[in-house]
Amino acid sequence: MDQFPLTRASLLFRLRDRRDSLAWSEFVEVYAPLVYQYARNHGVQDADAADVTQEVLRTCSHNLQKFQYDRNRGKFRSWLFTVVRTRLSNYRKSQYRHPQGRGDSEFSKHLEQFPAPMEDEEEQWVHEYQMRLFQWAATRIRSEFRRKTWRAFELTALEGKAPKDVAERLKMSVGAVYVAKTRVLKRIRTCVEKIDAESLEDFQ
Amino acid sequence: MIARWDCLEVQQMEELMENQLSRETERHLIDHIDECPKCQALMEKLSAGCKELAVLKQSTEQDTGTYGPAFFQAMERLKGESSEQEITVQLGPEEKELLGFLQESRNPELLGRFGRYEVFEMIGRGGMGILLKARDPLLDAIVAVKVLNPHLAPSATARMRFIREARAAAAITHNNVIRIHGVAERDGLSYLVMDFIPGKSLEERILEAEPLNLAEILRIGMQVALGVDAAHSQGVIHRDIKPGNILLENGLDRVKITDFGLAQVVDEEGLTQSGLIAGTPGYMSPEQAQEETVDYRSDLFSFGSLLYAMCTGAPPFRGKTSIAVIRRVCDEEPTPIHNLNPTIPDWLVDVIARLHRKNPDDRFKSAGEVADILRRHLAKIQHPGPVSPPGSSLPEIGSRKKRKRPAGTKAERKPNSRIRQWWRRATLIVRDFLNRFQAKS
Repeated sequence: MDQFPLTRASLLFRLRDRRDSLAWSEFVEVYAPLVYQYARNHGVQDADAADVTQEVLRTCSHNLQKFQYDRNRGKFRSWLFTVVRTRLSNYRKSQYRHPQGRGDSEFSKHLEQFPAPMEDEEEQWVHEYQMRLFQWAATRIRSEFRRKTWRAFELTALEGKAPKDVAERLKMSVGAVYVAKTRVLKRIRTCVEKIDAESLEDFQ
Repeated sequence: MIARWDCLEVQQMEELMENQLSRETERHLIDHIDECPKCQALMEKLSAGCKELAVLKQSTEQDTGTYGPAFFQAMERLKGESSEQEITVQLGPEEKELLGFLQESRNPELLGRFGRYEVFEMIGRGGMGILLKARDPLLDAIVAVKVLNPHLAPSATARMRFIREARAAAAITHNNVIRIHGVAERDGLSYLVMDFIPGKSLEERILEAEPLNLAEILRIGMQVALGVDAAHSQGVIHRDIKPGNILLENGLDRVKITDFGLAQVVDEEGLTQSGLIAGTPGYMSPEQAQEETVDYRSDLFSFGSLLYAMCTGAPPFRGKTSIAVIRRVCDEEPTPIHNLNPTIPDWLVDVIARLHRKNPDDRFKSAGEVADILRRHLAKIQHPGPVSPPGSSLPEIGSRKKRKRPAGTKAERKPNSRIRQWWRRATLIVRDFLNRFQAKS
């Protein structure tokens, strides 16, 4: 029935409403660093990477509002990857047309910084995409927890310490350490889910 | 009640994770999990898959990357684009009332105009008034305009006082004090124009989960002390030193103190009408709370509370109501810092304790004296070596030339009657109530 089986609360859904400026700025906060870093990792300098980022995000805004991103055709992140790749290749072409007074040899060196697309390129993108989502979610919800709770989570979930040792170290009960860990994780998941529920499907 | 030997059901575990249970039930469940490996294993299983944890782990370890200046500009530009698509900036009815004094502007990007200032947005509101981000077309500069709540200064005398105080504050020129461009009146509204500082307040920083490390505490503390000292030597007392009034400038290690002397502006008339009092209970000095003689040493006490909050993450004197807070400020010692943060060195604990002396005579002689101590220790952290002999953690009092205070900073005694005290307490309750509805300014 609904062509967008996204929950009402999800960010992509909210972006369809142009007046929801909060959704948009959240979208920018999550995705701009991802796109920008991706461009930088592909040899694009600050100013140009910022331009590419702007173009990509504007394309997103445009298409999301016009319902041109159709979930049936694939996951949002794959669609986004296509947009990023297209923009990057347009950028490369424009560089070729306006090589900014570079000497030829220098320019060919410049071209070498853009390797041809490889098969695992999308895989790499998905990985970076997922990391960005979790990174954003973790930063975002961190202040909701007491320091001790967060520390218990960090030590158990991220540093792999045994709950018993952590309990001793933080002077908490073992039960409390378990609860701290699961609560933070649960919260991170909820947060990621609101941005892009599809990405959680990978982990089911 | 859940018996200790009952294992948790999945449903209960979900509820526990989502924080939906009463404290009582929660405690019982945690006690059970404490001793039940089966439930512990189930929790692990429910909380997250291994793959998800791996991504999370990598994402926290991963270098956040390098972001050039163009990136931040692009972010700002992009974020602004959604409001551009709208015809006008939409305001709620409450905001409309608050900002009713603005003149309309044809530019849809603007909230409106205030005199020559083009107002972009309201960046804060508090009991004192509202804070606007605006552009001054004459200087072509982004400024912050603070418009005093008209209820606070209903009389011409009160407004005169605001202007006088603001002028005194404008005379302070110091790196760590926000620069005031001017103060004026327009349509019966008093307002103040100052530098716009992009960044966050120390209050926001303290609320972040990442605690401040010692170097940060010393760097921020030292700059606050320097700014306060500069004001004191010009005869201006701040009266409301608290983390919310300290701005941390984006990307710079620079700290700016705002709202110098403004706390005093709110006089009796304003007080009775708005329930606002000068100062913030959690950071007030005992003499301020009791309406006794207030001089520059009151700022030293509040500065002690600020350092305390940076070290422990919370203000030293807390309570459910303002009255309870004030009672603690006046009669009690705060929880020892080492109970809350054992990493704070003894010398700093001693400095804070001395700033927190109930009797102003027992505190440091000047903010500058404290700045010196903080600077010395900061240097020691940054360049470990024999800067000063170990053990000389507390300064030799009097080693610094005693500075003569200008007459203006000393004591203004106010009549201390029972009625005034009663009023004060009543207004505190009102303020407490109001604060719950007001956004942070």
